[in-house]
Amino acid sequence: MLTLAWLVLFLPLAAAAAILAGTLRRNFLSSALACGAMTVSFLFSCAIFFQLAGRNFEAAESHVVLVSIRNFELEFGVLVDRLSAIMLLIVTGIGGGIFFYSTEYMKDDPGYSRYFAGLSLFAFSMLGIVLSTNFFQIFVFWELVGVSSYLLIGHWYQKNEAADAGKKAFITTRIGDVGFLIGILMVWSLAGGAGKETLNFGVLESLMGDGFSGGMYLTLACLAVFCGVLGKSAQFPLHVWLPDAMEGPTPVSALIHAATMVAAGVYLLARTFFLFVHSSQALFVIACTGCVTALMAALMALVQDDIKKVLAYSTLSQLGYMVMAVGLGSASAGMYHLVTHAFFKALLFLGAGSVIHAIHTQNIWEMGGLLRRLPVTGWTFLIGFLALAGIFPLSGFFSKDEILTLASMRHPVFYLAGTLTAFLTAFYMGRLFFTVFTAEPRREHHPHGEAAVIRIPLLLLAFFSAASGFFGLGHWLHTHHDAEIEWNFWVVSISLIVSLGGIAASYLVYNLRIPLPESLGVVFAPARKVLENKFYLDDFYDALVQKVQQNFAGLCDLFERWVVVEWMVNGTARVTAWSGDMLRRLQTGRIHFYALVFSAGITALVGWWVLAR
Amino acid sequence: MIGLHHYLVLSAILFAAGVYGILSRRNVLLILLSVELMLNAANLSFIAFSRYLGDLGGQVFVFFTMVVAACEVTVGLAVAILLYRTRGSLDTDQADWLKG
Amino acid sequence: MISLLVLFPLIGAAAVLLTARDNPAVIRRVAAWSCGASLLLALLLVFSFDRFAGGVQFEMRRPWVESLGISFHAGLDGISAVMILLHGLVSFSGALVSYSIKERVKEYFVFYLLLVASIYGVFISLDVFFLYLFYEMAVIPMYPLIGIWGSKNKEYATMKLTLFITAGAVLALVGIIAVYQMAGLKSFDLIELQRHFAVQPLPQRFQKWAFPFLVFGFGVIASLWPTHSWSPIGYAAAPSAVSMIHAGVLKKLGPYLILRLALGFMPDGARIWLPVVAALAMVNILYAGYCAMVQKDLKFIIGFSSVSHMGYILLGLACLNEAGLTGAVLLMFSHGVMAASAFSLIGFVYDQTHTRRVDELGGGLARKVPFIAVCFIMTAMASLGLPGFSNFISEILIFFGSWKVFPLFAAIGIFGVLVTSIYLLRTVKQVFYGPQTVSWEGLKDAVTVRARAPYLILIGALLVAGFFPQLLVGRIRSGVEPLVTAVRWSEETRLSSSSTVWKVYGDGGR
Repeated sequence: MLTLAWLVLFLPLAAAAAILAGTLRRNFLSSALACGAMTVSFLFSCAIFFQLAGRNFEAAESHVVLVSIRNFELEFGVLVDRLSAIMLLIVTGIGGGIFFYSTEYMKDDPGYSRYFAGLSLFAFSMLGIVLSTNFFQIFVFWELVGVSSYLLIGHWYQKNEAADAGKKAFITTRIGDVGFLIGILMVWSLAGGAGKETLNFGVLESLMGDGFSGGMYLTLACLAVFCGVLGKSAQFPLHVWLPDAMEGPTPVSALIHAATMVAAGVYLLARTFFLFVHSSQALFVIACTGCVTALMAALMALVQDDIKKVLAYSTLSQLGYMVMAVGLGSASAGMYHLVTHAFFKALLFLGAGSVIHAIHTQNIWEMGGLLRRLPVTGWTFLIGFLALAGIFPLSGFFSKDEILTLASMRHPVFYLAGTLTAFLTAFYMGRLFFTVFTAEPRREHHPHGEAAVIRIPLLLLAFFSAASGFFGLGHWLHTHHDAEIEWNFWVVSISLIVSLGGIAASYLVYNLRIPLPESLGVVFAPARKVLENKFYLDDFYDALVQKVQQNFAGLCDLFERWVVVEWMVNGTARVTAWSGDMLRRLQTGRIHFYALVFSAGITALVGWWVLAR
Repeated sequence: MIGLHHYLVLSAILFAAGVYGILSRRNVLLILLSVELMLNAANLSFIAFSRYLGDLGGQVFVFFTMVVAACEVTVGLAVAILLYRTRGSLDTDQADWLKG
Repeated sequence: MISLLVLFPLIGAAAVLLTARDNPAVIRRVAAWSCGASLLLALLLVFSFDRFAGGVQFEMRRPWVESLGISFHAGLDGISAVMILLHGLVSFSGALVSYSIKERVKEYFVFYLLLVASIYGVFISLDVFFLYLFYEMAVIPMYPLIGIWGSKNKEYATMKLTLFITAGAVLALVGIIAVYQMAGLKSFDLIELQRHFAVQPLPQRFQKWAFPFLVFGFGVIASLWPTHSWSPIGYAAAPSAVSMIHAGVLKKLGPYLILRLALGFMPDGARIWLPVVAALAMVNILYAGYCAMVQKDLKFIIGFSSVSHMGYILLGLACLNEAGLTGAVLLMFSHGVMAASAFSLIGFVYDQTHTRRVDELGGGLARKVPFIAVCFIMTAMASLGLPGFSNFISEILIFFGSWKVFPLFAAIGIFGVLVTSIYLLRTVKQVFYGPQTVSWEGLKDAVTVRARAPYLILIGALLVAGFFPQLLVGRIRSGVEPLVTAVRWSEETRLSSSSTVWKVYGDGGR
């Protein structure tokens, strides 16, 4: 089983290496390699899952020592347990679907082989995170995920926007990684205090048993580790890269939003939840962050005109939910939502990709009435939409309501914010769906049909989006660290009503185009402006980079030019030159003068020597 | 009886005369001559000490010095000739190209 | 056998001297072959080095001036084994890159091979006299190499570089002679001296004043702030291969000699003074990083970046524990290879476009020169500490090592990695991405094996060491452990409270 896990991990890397080394000019071979590796990985993941089930889901790991210096070791290995087994299925399954989908979507791209190498690298990095046995390894793959996203978002590197978006994604997530690495070092110290300097999750968990108390240091360590989540899972205030990342090809967006990258943060929280349970302050901060992100992103999604951006903000908002769930004390609820969300968000993105592929625009106001022309896309998109809105009996309903129930048990503020977000989610998704698929088109389109490799992943994902609520995943993922969640009829019905209300409202406004009173637009104008400017956060960061960072760098440069080089170095040179100039006058060029000084010196020396005795 | 002191005093006088010659004369040839005088003064004291201490080392050094002196005169005269050719005089005060 | 490392390039230099001037093709080939021979030998030595036995291996000794206790004593320990591998890789790639030199080919390669030989000499010498001799010998060919074959501002740059390094060397010489006198062994033999000091350490008071001479003297060549300013301009002016050797290897002589001489001789002094060095290293990391952010010339960017990275190496040294020192030596290797790769790539572009200015290159070059672009991006990724390249492992080791000793500095260092990624990614974006604004008709990608070899060798080395770090770490560790033992011993027996001027060391952990 563990051998299989090693293979699952390294197959995509091997595919990436093979593509780079040999098949850059042979498009078909490249995609065959990438898809083949992914398929085999998926099959192996299934095998792992069933073997693990046969062993009653008892965790198993194997590792090699990467670096060993006296009593200090860096390990690299694979860890297979409930959490990683389900994530393996998600990553290889959904990821594999996206790989196949890409063969059609990217058909005519000049960087086709490069694209598949990038995808394989991305899958490898994500699988590495999933299978990590320790903090060091997870950090390694954390960084690799960053670089793969950089390469894929910037796939169309000749577009300035794409190149910038890739850079932004990489650097923004790296800001979080600064904290993450510091957090790892702090955890290492904590473990040292508890008995053994280790980064291995299993050992750490047993060291930090029930009675463990790390005090303030632990809280700080948890928050530092959480910084990594802020970056990768795009939580406020480091969420700014995610909408920009839409510059990448649509399947990449699907991959980032569903199966990889953003899932990594939540997965990390679940994986290291045994640390966080010891610090209620840290959990509180995490819950607040998730709550703010969920609400804020849902608000911003209301005003987007780009089909992919709406979905991007909705991902942000859903990630907020997951992080909030973890913060409220149940990592399993967060993971549950992660899994269901992976299905329907991949579905939505691939659907959006299909639309874009068919009519070559991303602006929703240029679309309309596409349900008839792209029936498979339209109907599966509807399933994804309803699942995201949390309508019974689709999967989103179960996972989202688990989070809302949890919130209602903790603090009304979280609950209210969560419910409001649910309403907004239903509303903006309704706006998207009705505008694109059912409303009267504002422009006539002649989309070409949907290819089979596009249709099949959509149908499969639609099935899982609809059905995965019935698998009992939430209960299955539950560990003794997680808070118990009591089924609450009122919470469930309220959220259902709210969601249906949101859909109904959007139906009225965007499908039937009920004229709204003018005054409404005027009242909401300032709010709209704030939302369209993304709460001015991007502008703030731009100013920070342009003004503070560049000016500081300029200051350093000036210091270097004037103080270090001009004063200190050239100054020394000038003093030397000046003193040489002064001493030069002694050199008259007359032999007599030299001889005189010479003999006077000798005389003086001899005299001193004689007299001193 | 002529002892070590007498030789040393003579050597010192010859040496001083040489130094004076170098410092006071402007003509290159005379300066060279004065240098020779100083070298020979040193030779004289070498020999005197050699005799006094019964050590042949001093006399060996004298031979060295004489060889060096010969070389020095050769080079020195060559320089003097070059100096005369370029400057048209043997006056050292004229030869101040190395003035800083 | 080990002295062949020095002899191959010397023989090569002699052969080049004897070759006719009008036959540059032969000259180039001779130079490449002699560097290649040394590289192969270095590989052989490194991989036959027994990392479990440790200690000094492949020793040889020829007495030279016995009255002063000078002998030609050569050998390799774990640290120098890794360093000759670094030098072998960089000098061979440098020789290949030098094929683009068109003027005075013969003189160029003579000087180049002399430079290569003397650096090998430094790494294999186990006699302080020869160590210093080779070190100074390396500076001599550097001067004409930059002064004659350099570009823009070369006279100023070469003068500045030579003077700085010589000044540092003189400062260090004072320290070396003081140690020699103080030991009273009448021997320059490194091993003998170290063995002697293990039994009878130098007095603490002496170490306190003599240590700075060595550490700041060699710190100049390690571009310790504020004596770093020779480095960016020196690299900018030098021809590619010389920038490669200089940033890649020669600069690493600073930390190498600090490790060998300063730390090896004076563990007490190290405990007293290294916190100061660590603080200065922080300035290196951040200050040079921010300076790099506003540079327009590619070589200046990489030049400042190398100053910044030297900060990590010095921080690792200052930890005085296994993780930190091992990380520092591994980073010397990794950064050396990476810097060489960066300079050679910039040289490739410069040779054809005759500009290194980011704004004049105009962006979009990835389409024009895909191979070079991929190599440059990989080099940049290595530099900003991406896992998979050995730079990552070394930085991680340094952070783990320094976390116990200087947690604040470790945190600043981690932040410095972010700064690095900001300016490097920006550079990549400005030069290689985006639409192409200048057409650069004459710019051709590297297609032949010969043209691609240097980059493939260097990047390949980083990847191999990154995936299998224990290959090098095991060797380095065997060299580092005796030093740490000496320091720990000094700490346990001599930690008389008044002696440490900077009481920043916390509890143990070392």
